[in-house]
Amino acid sequence: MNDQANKHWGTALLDALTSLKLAIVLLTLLMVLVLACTLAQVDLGTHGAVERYMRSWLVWWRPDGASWSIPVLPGGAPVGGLLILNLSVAQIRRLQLTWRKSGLWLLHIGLVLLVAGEFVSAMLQVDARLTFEEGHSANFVERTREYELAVVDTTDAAYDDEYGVPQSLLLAGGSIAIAKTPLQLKVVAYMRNSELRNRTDKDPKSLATAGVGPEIAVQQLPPVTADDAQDTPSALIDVHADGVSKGVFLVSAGISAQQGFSHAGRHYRIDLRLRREYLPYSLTLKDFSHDVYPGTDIPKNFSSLVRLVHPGSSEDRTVLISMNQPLRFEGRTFYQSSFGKNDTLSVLQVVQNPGWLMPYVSCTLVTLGLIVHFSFSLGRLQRRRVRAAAAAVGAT
Amino acid sequence: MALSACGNDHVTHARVPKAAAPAHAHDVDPGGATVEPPPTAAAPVQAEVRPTWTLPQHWKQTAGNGMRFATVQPDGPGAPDITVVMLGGAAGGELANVNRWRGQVGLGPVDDAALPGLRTTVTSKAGPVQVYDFSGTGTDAVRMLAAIWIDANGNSWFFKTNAGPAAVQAVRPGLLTLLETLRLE
Repeated sequence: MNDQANKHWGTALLDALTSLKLAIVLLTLLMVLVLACTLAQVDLGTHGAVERYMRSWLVWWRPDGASWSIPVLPGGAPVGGLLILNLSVAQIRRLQLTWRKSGLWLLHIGLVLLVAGEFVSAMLQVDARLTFEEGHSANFVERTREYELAVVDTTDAAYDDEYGVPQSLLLAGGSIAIAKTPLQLKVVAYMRNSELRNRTDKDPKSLATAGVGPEIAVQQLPPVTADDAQDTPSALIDVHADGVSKGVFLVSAGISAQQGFSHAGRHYRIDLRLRREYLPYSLTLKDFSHDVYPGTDIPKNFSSLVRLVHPGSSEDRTVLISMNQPLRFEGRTFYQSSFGKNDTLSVLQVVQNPGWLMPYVSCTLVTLGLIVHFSFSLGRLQRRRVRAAAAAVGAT
Repeated sequence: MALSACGNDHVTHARVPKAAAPAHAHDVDPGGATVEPPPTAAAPVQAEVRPTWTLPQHWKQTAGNGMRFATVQPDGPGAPDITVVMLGGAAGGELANVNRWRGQVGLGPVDDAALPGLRTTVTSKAGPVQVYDFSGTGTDAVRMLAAIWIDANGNSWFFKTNAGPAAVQAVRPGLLTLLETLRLE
């Protein structure tokens, strides 16, 4: 009896999970999310809107002035996940593995890949930026929205040892040991966004005791999401070396002054900066070109002539990166993104996305699926017409 | 989504040859750079701002340390130093700083509407500089002469001196002349 009941429930669940109704509800929800996300970009910017609507489990709404919020929609993550499940299971359960159904198979696989591709991008895509001037080389990229606490041992005359503490560890707080050094960092406070100003006698006593921090008042602000805005994170870090306090430093993306300390004959610099990733190769900007339409200031084309040198593979070549001709190299794509300093400085947008091919494959499969499916339908229709015509002739 | 955090939560280490400081994204106006690939257009961005100016005759200047960009020493006995400080972003905004300066000489706060009537705008090659001159009251009155200039990256630059009314009056013409020569390197 129990076995029968379980079987019944299992079948009912499978029916619900693979139903066409569920697919239509999910596709409708996806359309609503896409519309809401597009409209929200006005206030939140592209990144903020995508994080809120598409890369979330729930979409929350907070009434004006309220301190509470309620979920009003499922986010893109559960809708996309369920859609993948629905399309996959429905296909396996219902569709026959025949040539006649091959179009529908391709169509379903394409749609599943399209949604799965967004999951891969959300999980694994890394956006960064590479900035260099003509005649200069760069061997690192900087994440566009992530920061790190950099502790740099500058003692050696030939090189620096750079230790990067990611923002996620700073947000978690607590003590952080820097391996292979005598340093222990205690996060007193971390602000995703802040505003700095000169400290006055009326301000409460600064928590910072070393560096330039005692002179500065810092106020926490809500993080920004707009595309043209950037947070100014700040942190108060209590630095210990071999158990000896070196003071509490105020580090911030808004402070350009160098701060540091010495211990046991070694010199350290401490700074909060955009998160860096060093590359095993370097790019040198040989020339930046900025073309305009004749007689106007209207931009026509931007391009960076870059020398790529990879000591590991003995690769040494010159590449032209222009607006729609990015450089793809070792899993990263370098797009011409911006420029400055009287056309002597170039900014490349650097994207690392292992799933970048998935939308292309998906669209190809969906197109092929539609062609195959409609070809079979057309064939069927044609045969039906021929049979109908033959029957009509026979009847006369 | 949970997987996206994998591999990100550890302290990284890199040994980097010492070299001339490269340009980096901090030098770039985040509002100017397009960030969504593939780009269909590129917008100009600003490199790091390093202002300079011409000192009046016999005035001296020393490089600052910490958050102080420079200290300008006017000529003359007892002339007060002028500090030049740069802070990232709006640094509280013009109104908050004006009220802070007013508070330092014992004056009450004002609102936004009052600012145009209180300031003198100096036009320089680097853009407009807003100058405020406040005098406290009483026998130990302090006079505050302060200027604020916002650079192309949105950072706030402050030129400030405070001392007795006569001492500040003596350096005022020189400071205004200096601000007129403000330009980018």
